[in-house]
Amino acid sequence: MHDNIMEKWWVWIIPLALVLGIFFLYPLLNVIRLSFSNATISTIEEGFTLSNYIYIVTGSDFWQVMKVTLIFVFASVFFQLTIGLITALLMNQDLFGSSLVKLSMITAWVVPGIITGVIWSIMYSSSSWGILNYFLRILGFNQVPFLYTPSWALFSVTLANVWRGTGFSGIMQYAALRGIPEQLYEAAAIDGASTWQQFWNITIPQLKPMLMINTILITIYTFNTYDSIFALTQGGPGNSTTVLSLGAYKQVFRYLNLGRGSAYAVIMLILSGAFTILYVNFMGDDQ
Amino acid sequence: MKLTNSLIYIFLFIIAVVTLFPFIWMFFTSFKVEADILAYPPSLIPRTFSLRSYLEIWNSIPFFRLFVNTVIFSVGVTFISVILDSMAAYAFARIDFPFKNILFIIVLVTLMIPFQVILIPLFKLLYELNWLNTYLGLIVPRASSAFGIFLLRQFFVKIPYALEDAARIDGCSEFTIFRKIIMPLSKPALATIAIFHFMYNWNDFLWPMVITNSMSMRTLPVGLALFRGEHVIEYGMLTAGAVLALLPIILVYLYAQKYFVQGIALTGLKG
Repeated sequence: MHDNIMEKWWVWIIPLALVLGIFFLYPLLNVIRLSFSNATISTIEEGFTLSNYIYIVTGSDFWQVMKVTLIFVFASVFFQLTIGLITALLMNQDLFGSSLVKLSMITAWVVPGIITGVIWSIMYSSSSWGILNYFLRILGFNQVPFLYTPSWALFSVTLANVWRGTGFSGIMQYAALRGIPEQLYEAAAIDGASTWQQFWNITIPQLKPMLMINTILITIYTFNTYDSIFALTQGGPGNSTTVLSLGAYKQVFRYLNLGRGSAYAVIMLILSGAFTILYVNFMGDDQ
Repeated sequence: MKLTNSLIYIFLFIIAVVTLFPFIWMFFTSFKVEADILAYPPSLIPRTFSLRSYLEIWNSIPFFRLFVNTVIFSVGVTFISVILDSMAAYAFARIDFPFKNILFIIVLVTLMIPFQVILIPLFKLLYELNWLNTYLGLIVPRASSAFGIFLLRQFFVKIPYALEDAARIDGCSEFTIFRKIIMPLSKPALATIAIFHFMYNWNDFLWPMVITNSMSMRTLPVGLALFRGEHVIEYGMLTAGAVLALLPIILVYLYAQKYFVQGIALTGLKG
């Protein structure tokens, strides 16, 4: 009876294992090896060296880049999650028009990052036709150099990223809210629990798994975001909006330095790895 | 209650306006002539309504070709990953085999690592395979995702075993159970994964940009990025191209949205 090949467990896993092994694990080992070499795009030098890491960590840029990355990631994640959750709770009231809100949020999320960058560069422009500055002027405020001073530029790229990512969190939380059994609320209402008590004692605990996964997914996703920043500021002015992933991109594609780019990649890997461990730990609790 | 409802409306209205405003601006910009885009004071509604950007875009980039490439790339990845993800998820959810938990954790850990990290050696590998500038090279390395496997596994685990047991008694093979029972019951989850893959790859910029170097193989986001030069930005054509690139995504989402929310809601992520 068990002579059919599909009865073997490994048949189900092998396609995945091949894709993973060839296009993921093998390059992953390579990137670690490259990060300890002097390779550039044109010269593949083997030999073992720590110079890339030493160069990166001792450079004045690096800690600036780390700081920018952490601010960008934590601000993005915090606001995406909070605004997403609030919107999801309100959409769950099933009022007229919630589906329009849902559609608009999902649309912002699915816009290619490069287009997000362009849309917002139109909005942020300091020229006379920049719409946000036009509004500010009408309201009697001074012109804001959205993309031209370091702190405003970081604010602007983060705002654009919050705009882009909030929809994802909103939809995930909305879906999770949909999954909470109605009986829980009915029972609580019979026991005389207030709306606020229901929120803290039913909604939040029920949402917790999704909140965790959502947080980790968007954290990793934000760590990897560079396309919208690239389109908005190209990492400038100076290095004020250069996040790690953009730094790695610049090392390889602008300075053609494979070794340093790989070292950046390994640093990203370690950071994402830390979050992945969180994720796996959480998964462990779930089972 | 009346008051809270109006407060909710106001908040949702603000969210909708803030989210939609950039799109509306982009949409109207695509119908403006260049002088109008850069005019003061800025005006939402075009002073002269023009389709020039939409016409010019066809002469400036091979728009149709880019569009077809994007469809082949994102549909190809979506199709293959839905199959690979669901097969692996099936094994992890319903078949017992040695080292299952460890393998599952390895899959998750490996796939959660950012794609960008492995981009450089992956590029070299595709170069050695002669896969650069091919659909094969674009599609195959993308054909799996941790999120997909995780979500589907959660869904598959919840499908009652009674159905499977009955099918086994009737002599159904593992594959028949997968194809005739598990897959049809998992439509919402499969639709969710499919939308995720489709959207993610439709919009991806870095991967197609690095793996393709001829215009005839590029995808829409990469092609549109060309309108953003070092110094000059062709706002008219960029926004027109962006509007056209967004339409399929919105259509796919509208078509599948009821599955989308259901798919996430039913996976047991609710705790």
